[in-house]
Amino acid sequence: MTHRNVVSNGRLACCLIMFALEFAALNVAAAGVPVHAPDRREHVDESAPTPQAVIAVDDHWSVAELRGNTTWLRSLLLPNYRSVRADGSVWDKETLLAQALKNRGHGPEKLKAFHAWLKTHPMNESVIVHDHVAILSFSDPKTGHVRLANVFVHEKGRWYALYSRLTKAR
Amino acid sequence: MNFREHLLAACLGFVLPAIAVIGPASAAADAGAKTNEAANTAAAVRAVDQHWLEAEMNGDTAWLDAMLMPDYRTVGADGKVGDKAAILKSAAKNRGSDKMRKQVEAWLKTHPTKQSVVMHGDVAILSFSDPETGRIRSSDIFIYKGGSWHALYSEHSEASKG
Repeated sequence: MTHRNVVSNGRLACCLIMFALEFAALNVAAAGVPVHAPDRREHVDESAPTPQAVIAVDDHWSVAELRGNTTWLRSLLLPNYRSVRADGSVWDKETLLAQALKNRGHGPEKLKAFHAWLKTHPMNESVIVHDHVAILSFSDPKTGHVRLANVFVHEKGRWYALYSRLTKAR
Repeated sequence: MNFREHLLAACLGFVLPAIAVIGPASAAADAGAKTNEAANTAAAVRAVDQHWLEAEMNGDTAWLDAMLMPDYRTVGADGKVGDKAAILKSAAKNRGSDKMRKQVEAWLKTHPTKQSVVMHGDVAILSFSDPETGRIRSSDIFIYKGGSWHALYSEHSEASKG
């Protein structure tokens, strides 16, 4: 199992869902976030079957979603991808893409707001990898309660997202 | 199948009831026995899950130990985490007693549940939902390894309460 403190690493991923829940209406002026910054980390091979790659893919996911990069998201999410919210309601791949599309053209301000949100919502990440399956969990560092988990599968030389689950822990 | 959560709740103060199983628990073992649990199929996943329920009610910790991955985790609706050791410990308490079985059967009667399985290669996600609202109460994630299904992760939503 690999652990990482998210705050120390800046970008986070699927806490985007939680972020969106709380700050969907937040409108923060863009500043300090390069418009043409790459979505992904250049120094991590996202295709590797390693915990580090899973985290990098998840980071890439967060930025792609904030920027409305639906092309990349479409390639990441498996056709039967599902995201289950804390109340048990379900988002499918198309719903997530439609949500991400709304962010297109607002990437800088979304990223800025997201970074601000991260500062007040510290998060620990842990990754469990079993062969070609990985579960990436985000938890409250104080309580240890899991806020969100993403399940990835590694096939055809890369990671794909299969399932996400959000709890009521904030 | 959240009789498992019942167990955890009793043992660890966990969040509770979620799912139900198809049919009365007392008939569950028979249903599982008719299906080849070792097959890489959705039916086998359901059968293993049913076997899981029976094993917890019977205190069959040997079977549970073999089925649960070493780093298995179950996450409650509030984010609390339980591990394999906690499940084995609470299951052991049911050995020789039908108290838990009666509780489970009573709960199942009042909580109709729909099961659905998403298969992706040798990964399976078995979800339990409220047939009226469609909301998912809990999910179990299995991986097919060494010719059998093993539970890796379980999660429960707010819909599992009540």
